[in-house]
Amino acid sequence: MDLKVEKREGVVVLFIKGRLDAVTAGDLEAKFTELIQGGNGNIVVSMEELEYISSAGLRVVLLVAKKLHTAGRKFEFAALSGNVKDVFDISGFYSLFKIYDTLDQALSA
Amino acid sequence: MTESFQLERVSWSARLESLPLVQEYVENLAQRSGINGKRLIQLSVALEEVVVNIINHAYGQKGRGDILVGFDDQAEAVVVSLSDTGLAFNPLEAAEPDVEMALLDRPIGGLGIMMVKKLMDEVHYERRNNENILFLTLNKNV
Repeated sequence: MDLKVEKREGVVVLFIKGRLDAVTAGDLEAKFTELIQGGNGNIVVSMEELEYISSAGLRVVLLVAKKLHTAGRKFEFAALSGNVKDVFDISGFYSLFKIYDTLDQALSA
Repeated sequence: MTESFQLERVSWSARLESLPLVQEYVENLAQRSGINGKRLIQLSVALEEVVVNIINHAYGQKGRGDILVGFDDQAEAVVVSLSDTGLAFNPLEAAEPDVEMALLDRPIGGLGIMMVKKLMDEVHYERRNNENILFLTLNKNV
């Protein structure tokens, strides 16, 4: 799994690429800890190049969501497809989170 | 379906390092049986959920044990069996998470087995020969 962070339009964008599973979830959690402690802006996650997500990944997303919610920061997602979209759907995450079709839509919202 | 239990099974130690190996083993066999693309990823996710459950719970805090993996290519479906020799436990009977629940109230656990049930066409549990066995069935040509 590869992680890349960019600042766009005042928002922190995290790009996740590859597989988010029980082996890599810890790296994602560490990155989010950095982002949470290192700033106070909203966060958008681009899932465009994420091929695989399991409950390990969902767990990190929920943990982070609770922290950001407490801090009054937005936490949104863009460009889900395939397995990732299904897993978010099955787990009810579509009703928990704001999810945009594209990153541009997320940033201009 | 349970006759497939008699076929050859491969064993890995129940540690996180084994997860990619189990997935690769099953994915190769599944692809040869005609399971590809998104269905293959779904199988892989279901495998991960079961394997991680075994790693975390089957053998207790300091316990060591194995995961036994079987693969049966049937005419209409593939059946993957995943077993451990831990205490008797049927994960399918565990409570499912309430996906209607508000974010802040939602407990983190429970998602894994729910995903297995929803991603696979059938899931069965058996307790046999002191093993907990989960059979995951994925239909071909859906």
